[in-house]
Amino acid sequence: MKKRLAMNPILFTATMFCLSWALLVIMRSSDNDISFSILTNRYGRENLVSAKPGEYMTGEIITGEFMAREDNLGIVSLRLDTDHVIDADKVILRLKEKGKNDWYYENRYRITKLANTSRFPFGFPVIHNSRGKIFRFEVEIIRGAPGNALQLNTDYPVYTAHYKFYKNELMKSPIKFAAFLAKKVAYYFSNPRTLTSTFGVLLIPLLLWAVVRTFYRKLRVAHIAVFLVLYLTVYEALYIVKLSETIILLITGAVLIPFSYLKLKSGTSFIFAFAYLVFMSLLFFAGDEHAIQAVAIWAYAFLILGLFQSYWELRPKR
Amino acid sequence: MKKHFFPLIILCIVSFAPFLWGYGLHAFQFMGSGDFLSVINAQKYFNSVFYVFEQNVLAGADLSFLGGHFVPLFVFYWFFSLCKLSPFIITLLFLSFIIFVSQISMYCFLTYVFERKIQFRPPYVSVLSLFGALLYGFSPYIIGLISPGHVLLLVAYAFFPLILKTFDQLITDNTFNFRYWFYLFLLFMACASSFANVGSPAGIMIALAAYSVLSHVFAGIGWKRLVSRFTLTGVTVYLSNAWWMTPYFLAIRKTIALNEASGGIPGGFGEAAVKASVANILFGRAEYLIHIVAQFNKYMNMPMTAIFSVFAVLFGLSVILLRKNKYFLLLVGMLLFGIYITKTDQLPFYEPYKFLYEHVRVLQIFRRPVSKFYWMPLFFYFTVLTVGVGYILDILKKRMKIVGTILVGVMMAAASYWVVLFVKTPLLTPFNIPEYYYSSADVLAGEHARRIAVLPSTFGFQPAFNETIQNYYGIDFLWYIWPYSVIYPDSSSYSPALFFKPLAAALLSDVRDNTSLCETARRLNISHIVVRQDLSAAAKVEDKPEDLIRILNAHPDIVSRKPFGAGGKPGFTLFTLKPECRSSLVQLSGDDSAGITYRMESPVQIKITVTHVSKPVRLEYLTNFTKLWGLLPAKLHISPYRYLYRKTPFYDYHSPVYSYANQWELSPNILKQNLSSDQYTVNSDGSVNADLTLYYLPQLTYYAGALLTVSILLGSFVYILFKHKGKKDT
Repeated sequence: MKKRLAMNPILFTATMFCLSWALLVIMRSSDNDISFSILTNRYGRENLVSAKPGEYMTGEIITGEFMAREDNLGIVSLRLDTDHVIDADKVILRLKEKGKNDWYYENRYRITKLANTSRFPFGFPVIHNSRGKIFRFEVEIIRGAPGNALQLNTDYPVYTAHYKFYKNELMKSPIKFAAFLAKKVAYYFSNPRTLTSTFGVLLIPLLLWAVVRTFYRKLRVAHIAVFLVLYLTVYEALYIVKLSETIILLITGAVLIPFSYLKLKSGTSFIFAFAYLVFMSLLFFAGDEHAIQAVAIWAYAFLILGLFQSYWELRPKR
Repeated sequence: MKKHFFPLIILCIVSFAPFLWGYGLHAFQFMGSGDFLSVINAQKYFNSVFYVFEQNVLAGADLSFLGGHFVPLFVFYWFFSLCKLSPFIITLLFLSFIIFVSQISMYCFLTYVFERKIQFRPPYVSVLSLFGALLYGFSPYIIGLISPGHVLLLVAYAFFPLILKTFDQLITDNTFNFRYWFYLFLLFMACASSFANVGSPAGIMIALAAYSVLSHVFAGIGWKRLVSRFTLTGVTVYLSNAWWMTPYFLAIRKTIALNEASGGIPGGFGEAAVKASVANILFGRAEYLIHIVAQFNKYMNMPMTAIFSVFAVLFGLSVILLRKNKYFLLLVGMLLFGIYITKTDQLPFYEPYKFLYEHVRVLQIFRRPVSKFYWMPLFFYFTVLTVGVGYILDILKKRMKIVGTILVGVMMAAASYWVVLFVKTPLLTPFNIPEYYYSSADVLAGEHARRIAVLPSTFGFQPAFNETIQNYYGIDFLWYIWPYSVIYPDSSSYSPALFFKPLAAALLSDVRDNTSLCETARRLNISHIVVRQDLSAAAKVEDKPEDLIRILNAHPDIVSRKPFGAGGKPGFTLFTLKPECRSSLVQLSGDDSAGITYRMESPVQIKITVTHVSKPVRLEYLTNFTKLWGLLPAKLHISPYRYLYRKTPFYDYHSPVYSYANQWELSPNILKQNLSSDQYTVNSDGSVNADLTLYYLPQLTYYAGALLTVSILLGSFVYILFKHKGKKDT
């Protein structure tokens, strides 16, 4: 009986790997979700009818077309680069069904500063019977001058369409709910960038673990845990586009367990902080701006950890 | 003292670095940029400093915060004006003064830290302090704030190291030392110009609060002492600035109506510190202007960032080496706290801050925390770095002295490079005001101008001028030149949403629609309209000047037009409204038989005589409405100070008119009810005459506050003098 339950280690590792991968993909993708009850479709550069690289001057227009895949279309999000905008400015969004003369919706939006990777959501009254219809949207820049203008970020997805699903309708029909869940999961697993980055996050330490175990068999699990956590921070800095507060809290929390188990002192935290600061300085010469920002965050987190440990170590003993 | 002589001489010399911006530009009279402008009309500035209300700004506004500009800004300009120096030179001197004080202050703090606070004695203390002082004096915070014109915030920045040193002495001493308290009083008083931006003293108090907490944590100073002395320090901030803070806080809720842009943060929490990430703070580029303004490209160059990279490594190394030094850990704690409070919504751990920022309204006074707090991480970063380098040198002196000397040399070279970069980055624009602005003032005086509407609207932003006329973008100088109230009809505005704005926007609509301007002009007390044509092509304007001029040229309510310009280029066109469209600042309406005369004694006091009031009339006073204006009898029987906590006569009859201005309902009965019998006279026909005074009540608190500050200042001075003499005698 026992033998039957015992699992092949390779099969076990593969199962755990797949589960962890799925979990990571869902965690990463859900970070970009507006809301759980909203379904999203992504569109690339090829779905733009008119767009250009560089700054958008007064009166210039970005146009896109897409076929709505669901009912209740309510938001179109466009990836705008606001890095060169000195003050908040306004744009006009126009939306209509292709072939119709009148615009279904037209409104002014105040564009605020966005992180480079964020998309600006243009909301409008929900179009209930949108499914199957082709929509055309225009975003007109009201004011733009050289050195003070919006730009279009053409990273995939350039724009997304969002459809609202009503909670009470989903709860009434299990079939509808299952279909919604299937679409949601399919959406989560349809971004190649997320799939590859999360796959790498898990695969690389697995390989490293195998290599280290081959040559050095006396490693304690806690050592590996510290290594893994540090690896994750560096990997995240180099490859993951968006770092979230949740990821930072999870990793910082994960660090505390092996730290307390191995009774590591403030010196270790400060050494890690130092290593991140050195890494940050080197990255500057490599010109990797995203990684510089991410590594500095970890240096800061370890400095705080070290300071708390120092206080604990130096506190007057009763 | 001898060992400090040479470093102090160097600091003194490099303080004059801003003069190298002005090399060959002495033909210019003024300098400015963004929110800062050389003082153009000292007399007018003088008035604005001593009165809490200004009639000639935006249809009347409470400017009590300008009282804070008295020290050191006004005193500085006033003193050097006596020496016949131009505002251009005085501005450069003022910037040099800020840099000088920053450096000396930092130098004193660092020597204090080396001599009193840490448990090792590094070599080259004076050189190390010189290094730290140079970094602080030419830090990216200074660079980042001068260009947008937030120069006055730098006064508090300059004095902060001395404030912290004195505060540390105050909380460290077991017995309360009055001398330290008095020093703090003087230092806070010297920061008044900075404190006029209320985020500045609040920022300093937050820093001192954090320092107190960490002093308890790492230095073991008792809570009781910390709380009492910190509270006393907070009270000292008020006492040392009571002359302007008292009227400011009294009037703030009633007079300053903030709109979305000028209150809170336009764009919300997420926009408060777009570039203030941890890395950018450590690389000295947290201010987002540094990223988008072309002139900063030269400043934030490769060598500069490389220097910051080296600093980051040295900082990390110092933390490892000095991890058991409690005072060093306190400084590191302050640095981390400074980063946290500066970075706003940047990762990591921002959620608690976001929660507080969105729910504790007082935190929103910081608007963009990076401009109010960035000095804090930089100050503690440079301090930690200097102390860390000191420790490394202390280690190296035993074995590798030559390496230590090279390290000192490299650090000094880096600091010198900062000075060079500062010189190469001119941050204020030199300019002259075209002559036609002055000649038009004479024309306006000849035509007995009242209030002037300036078009086109610039969306509440500062005007940017045509470069062929003058290369200036910043706070408008019209207020200094024309002795009349100037209003801007900004429909969407970056300036506070004062009550007159909707009506001013209606005036602009009247012009656009080519309809009669008279009624709106009368209500706004407008006598002239100016259409500026000297703005830059890139300036944001709601209407094209030529369109407005075309309409006004043919408008039936305009009686004359006068174009002004220079060198064949149009400057602006001055349109005079016909006499029927004019009104008076103080007027009666509702009964033509009643008479009124008035005389403006000061911006806060108007003497009024009403005669032959026989039926209900309205006394209209066409400035922005506030209940802080009191209509008092000319002969007062009680002290006017009583009206600060009780209703003034006619209080219940005071209400808004024309949606923005003040009016009091008057009638023979109301006058008799609110005045005693010797304060009015009754004519033979039963009508009533009365001598009244319109008074802006917060002005009284200005006098009370000034008395409080001056008496504490003199009292403390005398006390210390006598104590010193007593000590000498014994």
